Order: sequence, then C-alpha cells, then structure tokens
Amino acid sequence: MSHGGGGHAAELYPENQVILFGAILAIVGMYISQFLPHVSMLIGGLLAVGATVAGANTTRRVAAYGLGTGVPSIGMVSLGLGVISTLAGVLLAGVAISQFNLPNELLYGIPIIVAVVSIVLGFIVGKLTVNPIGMKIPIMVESMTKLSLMGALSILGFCAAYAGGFYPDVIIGGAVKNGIIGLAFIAAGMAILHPFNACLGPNESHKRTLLLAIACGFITWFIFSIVKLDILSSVVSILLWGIVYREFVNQSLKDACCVLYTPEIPKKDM
Amino acid sequence: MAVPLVEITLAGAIINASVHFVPVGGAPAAMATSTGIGTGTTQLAAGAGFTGLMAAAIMAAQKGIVLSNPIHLAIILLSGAVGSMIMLALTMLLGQLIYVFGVGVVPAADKCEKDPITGDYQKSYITPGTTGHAIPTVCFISGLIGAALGGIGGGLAYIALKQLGFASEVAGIIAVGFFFMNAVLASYNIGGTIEGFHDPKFKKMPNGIIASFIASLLTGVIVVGMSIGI
Amino acid sequence: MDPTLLVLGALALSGAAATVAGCAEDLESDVGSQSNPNSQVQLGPQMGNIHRYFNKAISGEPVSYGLYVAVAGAVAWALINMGLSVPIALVVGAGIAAFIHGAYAVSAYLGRIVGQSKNFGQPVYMDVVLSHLGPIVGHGFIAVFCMLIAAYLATSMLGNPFPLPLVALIFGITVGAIGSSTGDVHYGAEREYQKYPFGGGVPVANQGDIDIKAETGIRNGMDSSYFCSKLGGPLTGLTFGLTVFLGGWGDIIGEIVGGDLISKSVIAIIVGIIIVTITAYLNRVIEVYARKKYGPYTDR
Repeated sequence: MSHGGGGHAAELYPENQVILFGAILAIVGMYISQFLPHVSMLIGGLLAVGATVAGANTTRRVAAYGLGTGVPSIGMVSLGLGVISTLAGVLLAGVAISQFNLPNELLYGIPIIVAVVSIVLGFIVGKLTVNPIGMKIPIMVESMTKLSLMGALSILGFCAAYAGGFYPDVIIGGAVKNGIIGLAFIAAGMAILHPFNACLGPNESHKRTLLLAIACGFITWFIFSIVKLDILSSVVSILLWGIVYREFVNQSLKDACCVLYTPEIPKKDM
Repeated sequence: MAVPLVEITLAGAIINASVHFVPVGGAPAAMATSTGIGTGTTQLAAGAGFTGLMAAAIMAAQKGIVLSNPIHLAIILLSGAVGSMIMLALTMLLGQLIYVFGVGVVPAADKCEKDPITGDYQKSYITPGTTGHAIPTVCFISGLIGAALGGIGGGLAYIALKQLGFASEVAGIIAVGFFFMNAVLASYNIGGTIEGFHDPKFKKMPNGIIASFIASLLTGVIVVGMSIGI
Repeated sequence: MDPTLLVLGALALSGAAATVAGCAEDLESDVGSQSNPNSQVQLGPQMGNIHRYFNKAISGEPVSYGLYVAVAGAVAWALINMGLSVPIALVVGAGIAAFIHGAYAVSAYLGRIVGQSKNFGQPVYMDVVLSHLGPIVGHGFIAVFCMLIAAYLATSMLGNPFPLPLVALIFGITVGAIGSSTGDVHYGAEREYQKYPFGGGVPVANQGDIDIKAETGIRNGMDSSYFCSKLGGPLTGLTFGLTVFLGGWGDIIGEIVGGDLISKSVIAIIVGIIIVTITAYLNRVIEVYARKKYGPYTDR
C-alpha cells in the first residue's frame, strides 16, 4: 500500500466542472456507441475517457486527506459499486419494460438509469463510511457519490464501446458473458486511482496529475481497442496517448529540482 | 426471492467480519515493524476471498450439483472456505519462513501479554521500537478463521446470484464487485492494521458489520430486482 | 487417455507455471520497489537519504497485477477467437500487458519522484528509469505469461466456469496479494535496512533511513532483486505454486477414491482441512524454533 496524504495543491479547474464535463462526455459517448456501432470504439471509447479523468480528479481531492489504507482502496470500492450499478441499470431497464409494460423507449435511458443507481449506491455507502464506520474526511460522502458515478460511467462507457451499444442483450452478450467487464473493472479502476497515487507528494501539481489522468484514460482506451482488434482505434488511441504522455514526461522533468543521467548523489547543501 | 436476498445480505456481513480476522500489518508489517502479514487489508482479503470464490464456483459448476439442495449448498460453501484457507495458510506459513530466516525475528504479538492459544509470553520477544512482528500462532489461527469466513461469504454471494438465475459469468463479476465493496468498508473500519481477534480494534467489528449489512441489503434488493427479467 | 490423468497433468503444469509466476512477480516488485516496502523509498528523501531506487507506486500489487493479467487474458482471448493458435495468442497478450506495465511504471516513477523533488532535493535519475525498465518489464512479462498459462488451463481443463478474462483478473489479484505479503518482507525488512544488524524488526524511529549504498557504489533496484532472489522470490513462487496445486489436489484425490459426488467432495474438503492443519503445525514449529534460537530481549 502506498501513502495517502500529501496536501492540497492549487486546482486548475474546479472539481464540479470536471465532473460535469466528464459525465456528459461519457454519456454522449454511450449514445454514439449505441447509434453508430461501427465507430463505437473510435468515438465511444474516446469519450469514455472523460469519466476516468473526472474520477481521477475526484480521487486526487479525497485521497489528499489520507485514507489510512492507501489510495487504491477508494478506487476499488468505487469500481465495485460501479460494476454493480452498471449491471443493475442495464438489467433493471429490461425488467421495467417486461414487468410494468413500460414503452421500449425506456432502453434509451439506460445510461441515465445507471447514473442514478450509482449515485444512490455511492451516496448510501459513503454515508455508511461516515456513520457507523467513522471516517473523518469531510468530503467523504460527496466523493464516494462522485466516484461511484464515475466508476459506473467508465465501466458502461468502455463496455458499450466494446459491445457496440448499451442495450441489455448487446451488453450482456457482448461484454459481460465474455468477461470483458472484468477488464473494464480493473483497467478503468487503474485509470482512476493511478494518477493521484503516482503523483502525490508535497510538490504534487494539478497539471501533472491531470495530464497523467488523461494519458491513463487513453491507454485504457488503447487496451479496449486492442481487445476489440480495432486497428484504427488502436492507432489513434496510442498516438493520442503518446502525445499526452510525452507532455507529462516533459512537464515532470521541468518540475524536478534536477535531472541526472549519471549515478551520482548531489552534495547536500542543506 | 427472499432466500437469495437474505443470503446476499448475510454474505456481505460475513465478508466484512472475515476481514477483521485476517492479521494484516499493512506497510509497517513489511518492515517487520508491526505484527501480521505485510500487505493491505483489502487486497489480501480479496486475494483469499477470490480463491475461495473460484473454488466455490468450480464446485457449483460440477455436474449433478443442485443449488436448492442444502447438502450441496454446504459442500459448495465449505469448498470455498477450504480454498481460501489453503491460500492464506500458505501465505502466512511462507511469510513466516521469510520473517524467521530472512529477517531474523521471533514471531511476537504486541496486543496481548500471552498468546491466548499457546500461552507463550510475547512482550520480551518484540524488537524495541516496534509493535511486534511476524505471525504468532494466535494470528495464524485468527487468519484461518478469517479466510474461512471470506471463502464462505464469497461463495454464498455467488450461490445467491446463481439461485436468482444469473449466468455464471454475470454472477462472478457481480460477486467480485460485491466483495470489494464489503472488504473496503471493513478495511476503512479497521483503519490500516489489525492483529486478529485478540486486538482491541476487533471490538469495532460491529460497526463494520452494520455498514456492510445495510450496503449488502441495498445491493441485494437491486440484484433481486435485476433478476426478475431473467 | 484417462481424464483424471489429464487433469492431473494440467494441475501440475499450472502449479509449475504459478511457481515461476510468483517468483518473477516478487523479483519484479523488488527491482521496481512496489507495494508496502516502497513506503520507505518514498520516505527516504524526507529523511535526507537521496536514493537511486526505482519508485514504482503504480498501486498495490494485487490491483496492478490484476490489470496486467486481465489485459493479457482479454487480448489472448480475442486472438484465440480470431483463430490464432493458443501459445502465440498467450505470448502476444503478455506482450501487450508488458507494454502497459512499462507505461505505468515510468509514470509512477516520475510522478512520485517529482512530487517530492523540490522540497527534499531528490533528483530524477533518468539512467535509473532506462536501466530498470528492462528488468521490470521482463520479469513482469514472465510473471504475466505464466499466470496466463495457469488461467488458460483453469478455464479449458480444470472446470472453471468463468471466461478467460475474468479468471485472468482474479488470478492476477491473487498473485499480487501473495507476492506483496510474502516476498516483499524480505525486501522491506532486510534489504532496505541492511546496514542495521541482522535479527530484529525496523523500529519506527529508523523508518525512512534506507540503505543508499550498495556492496560497491550506490544502491539501486537491481541489486535488490539479486539479493531477494536468494529467499524472498523463490518462497513467493512456492507459496503461489502450492496454493494452485494443493487447491486442486483434494479434488484429484476425491476423483481417484471415487464414489458419488457428495463423497468425492467431502474427501476433497477433508484433504484441504488436513493440509491447513499441517501448515498450522509447521507454523508453530517455526515459531518455537525461532523463540529457542533467537531468545528474548534481555537488556531492557
């Protein structure tokens, strides 16, 4: 486990703005995956990155308080909630149609249902971590809600991009029965928890963390493109990843106190 | 409908309880600075719990197993428990070998004067400046109980989902998410390190169980709702 | 051929693969310094120890190995479905996973080092990044490939009902959990603190005071993997290999003894409980040995 904690550096963008932006991108991406299945991975996959970036941004904010069990734990709980709410949203829509004779158009609302279920689940589990468990982080409930939402949106986003839509039969047959949702669970989870876990420290900067979050989102997209054997998306995603990652590396080298290429220990002048 | 709901709720509470039994020392244990296994609570519980989940799933997939038959049910759960126990027992045993022969410390618990099982004195074997190290017998036994509960909890959640009519693959991934949710709740309750059932922190367990109970009940209701369409 | 014999062979092969995987996994985490012992590398500069360790804080080992093996499993699954032969698909899958691993490893190093660079004067050593990346990705490749073989055998031969990507994910999490709880102790409690006398845990006051000098020159991660390959790595491999092997062993005995489903399963469970009892006994033997051999602290 790694350390939580590391203080609060200034924020480049307010958190809620990032959340809203990420959620909208991811949901638009799902609709594109649904209605234009032949570009589902190229555009749907790209837009699903929005959810992982927003999730990583929230992780940065909550984990800076120090969770006591490391940054990864909150990533895993958010994805655990995400996977349950994703499947719940997808299947509940089908149940509502078959049992309550609701119109078939309800299926178009699956991304919204998933979002609502994940918000409810995240909020209640967040409340439970404060009482009875007694976490002392002031933004815990709010952050768990957001992380649960982003976990669900990124899982559904990548699964819809992979399967080519979010209809129950498409998702269950195309991304759940073959275990791809397991990959979405861990790959999206890593993209959400890694950026802050890697960048934390007294000299952490929002810019570097965000750059890394975007790079991690792109590499997750790349993973799914490869698994779908979609050559165009793979090439585009790896190129975009390369650009952002290069930017992250350059920024890191610029922010370091010094960059050495030889095995020498600088003399202490403190 | 009602039976799987009860099973899922219980499974969540059992998983939460199981994490409290596993002696994890977190990062300090990896430096032999505190007693227990040198890794994080959630991850180790997940490792052991998933081994049990797989064992239970393999058993449930055998030809001739009927999920409504209580004897078969018990066998599936016990297979899960044994799978988890083997994994955690070997992890603790070989970890112990490294502590004793690689680091050169005597297994010693910090949270009790005498080992409640063997009656050995602990305090004088602890390196000064640390809070114990390695895995004394009481921690080992506590870990075995935790692993067994983890396997039973994971297996029970999986069976409940199967009884609701989900395909193995769907049930498997929901069980994984469900397990993580409850294990992380437990690890937040523990807050880093715990030595086992003799640790004063163990008394906080009811809080964790209540949290998991509510979260699992909610999940159970959602899951039962999902299953109507199948 | 007798199906029991085939299952026995598959079990032996996956046990062997798991052993190699566990060992490679532990050595990889020692080169890169991942998981719990990395907290000390992280603490080092703060305590005035400018070091040349790799700082691979991708996440805990279970999560990161879950990712690599799931990626490898999903890619391999896709390629097998496309009609590629199984061994080649497994190799390509593990190769893609190695690339992902490398990308995350470099960003973890840069992120963590730069995150404390200005305050504590810890430089970024690009030569450490470049020289360590090969061993990290290489060991990772071996570990992931072996895990993938075990996962493939589990789905195709050993009656696991889950699809390959899901089994790969779960196996990855398990190997990470085992690697971070057994072998890492050797690295964290002994190798990072070799300047202190052997025998004894690391007192809280000494934490962060890691070794920065090697046998010759300045310490880096590759020295650590050489050291840990003498005990920590092999024992990690043994733990995981035995877990896979003994986990399935009971079923085989049940199969050989025969009878109906219930009696077979009960035998398997009893064999499992016997194994667990033996480990508990061995643990006690080691504990007693250590108490006798090392003795209590008398000088306080």
